[in-house]
Amino acid sequence: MTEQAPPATITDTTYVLPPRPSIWRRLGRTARSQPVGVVGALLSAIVVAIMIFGPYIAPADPNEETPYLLQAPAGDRWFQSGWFGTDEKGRDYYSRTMAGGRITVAISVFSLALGTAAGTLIGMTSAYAKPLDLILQRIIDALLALPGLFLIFLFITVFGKDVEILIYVLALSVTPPLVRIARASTLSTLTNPYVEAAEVMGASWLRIILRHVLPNIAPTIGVIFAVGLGNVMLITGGLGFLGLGVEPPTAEWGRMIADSRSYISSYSHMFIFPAIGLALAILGVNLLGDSLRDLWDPRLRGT
Amino acid sequence: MTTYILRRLLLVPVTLLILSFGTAMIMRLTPGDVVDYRLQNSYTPERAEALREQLGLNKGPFEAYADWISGAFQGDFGSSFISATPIVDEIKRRFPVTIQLVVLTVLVQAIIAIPFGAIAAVRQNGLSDYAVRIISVIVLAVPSFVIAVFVLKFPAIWWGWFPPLGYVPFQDDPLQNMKVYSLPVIVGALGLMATLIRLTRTEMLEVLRQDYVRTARSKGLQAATVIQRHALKNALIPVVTVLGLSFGGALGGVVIIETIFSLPGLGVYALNAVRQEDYLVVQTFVVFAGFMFVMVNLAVDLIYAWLNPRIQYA
Repeated sequence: MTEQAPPATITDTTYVLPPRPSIWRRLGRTARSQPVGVVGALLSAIVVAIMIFGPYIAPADPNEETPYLLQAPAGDRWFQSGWFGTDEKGRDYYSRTMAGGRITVAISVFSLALGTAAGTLIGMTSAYAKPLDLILQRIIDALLALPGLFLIFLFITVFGKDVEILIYVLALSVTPPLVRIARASTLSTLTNPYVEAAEVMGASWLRIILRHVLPNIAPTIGVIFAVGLGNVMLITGGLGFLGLGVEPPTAEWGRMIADSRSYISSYSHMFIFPAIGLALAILGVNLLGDSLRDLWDPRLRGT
Repeated sequence: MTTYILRRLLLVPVTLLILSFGTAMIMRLTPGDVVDYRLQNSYTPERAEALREQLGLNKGPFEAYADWISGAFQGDFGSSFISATPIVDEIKRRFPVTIQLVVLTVLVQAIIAIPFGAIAAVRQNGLSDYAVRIISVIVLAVPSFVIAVFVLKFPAIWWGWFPPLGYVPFQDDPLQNMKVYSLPVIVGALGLMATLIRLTRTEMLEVLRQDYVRTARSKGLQAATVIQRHALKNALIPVVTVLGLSFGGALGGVVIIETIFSLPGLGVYALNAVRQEDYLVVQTFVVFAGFMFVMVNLAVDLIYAWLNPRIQYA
């Protein structure tokens, strides 16, 4: 009688999972599936780089006036005209275009971030706290009863114009729709059994919202942020164009485009550079946003 | 359904009351007021006080709001602090200018966007699909004020062609009126249509995969009939909703379009009132714009329910 071999157990064999591909490999795979998004990411990266390093690259102070007025870009008198020429006050337009983009993009990003954070918090609280919900939703109704731009008008009338105030005003104007979205997503998350379990274990509302609800609605909110940024940049530029944005002499794309109208027939560079800058920045952010939406929230694909 | 409509209609005045009250209260918070703007160089504390007395600005915020709202119920929304013209008259005069702009913009948008979106879907991944998608990405990225400045200025530089400006009412000279409106309407529509093109394309792709489309094809109907009668009709249901909601977008966009193309509409009126802190005008305008917006949204919901009987509003 030969001794039977013991049946093979799991422990005898080592099952080796294929190693997780490195972050670069995964990024590369994502990039190949979203080629348009890569273009968007590159454009956005350039904008971010200008935001961070702009003041160090700029050859001149964007507000410094020189006697060389209205020089064409890269003109024959190079030392006077610079890359992008000069404007009606002799300011270097290359430096001004970078500085203008910096402020336009900064206002948009900070206001949208602030508005998104506030909207998400209020929306989650509103969904969770029933008595508060009724009052909050009537206020949101009233705020949503105005097309966004008029709401901004109203707030600018009241609070005035200033970079910091402008950020708050724009944040306020993006908050109401976000409250709605966050509230709806929260309501559907709250029906999950694990929320009930957390409640039974005596978790506080803050814990439930931050630990159980927020991670679930984060992708939706992230997508809304990514897709909405281009729109906020449009509005920021539009406000500058209407003279309701940042006060001169601070450079801002919308304002620069508005001011260029008087000189456009002979000095079209004053229109072209900020206009292309604004369009490319919005294009980059939009393309990146679309790709992120496809990756994070496939249900919204194509909307 | 009737209860639903009634409930929605009952909420409208509540919304508008909250909106106007909020507006009135926060506008009173402003440190400077219209008096500074009116007096400018001739400012003295005594004069300012007298002018405030005359305009009724020295009342408390609640008293002022009560006055305004009781007048509002009788159709009197007060007068501008700058020009002293009754606000209602001004709105009546400017309303046709703006509503024509908004309606034409939304219509032109639909006329361009729906065929584009449908063609892109039918020829998915074909050349026309890519062309339409690239166009929609570009018009989404270029702000309408940039396009407007471009079409206003560059044809004049290159070809000496000056766009027609100067508003003429439609009943006075329909042809000239349409000429003046053509550019602002196209520019406004360009800014809005990207969303609609994309939505039409997505919905169309969705519908083209449905069984009833395959049935229609397999029973030998012509491709055009299948696309127009069976696919497009069903794909357009959600498109109509977004089209209706784009009234709000067009309404918001009129400020920029009216300013650039010098149309004497409500947007310019509101913008000037904001600049001059003429707050009764802003307050009235907010209520008026809110009313239009809320009613359009209600109409959109009802049309949606009518087009798609599966939707039940409780």
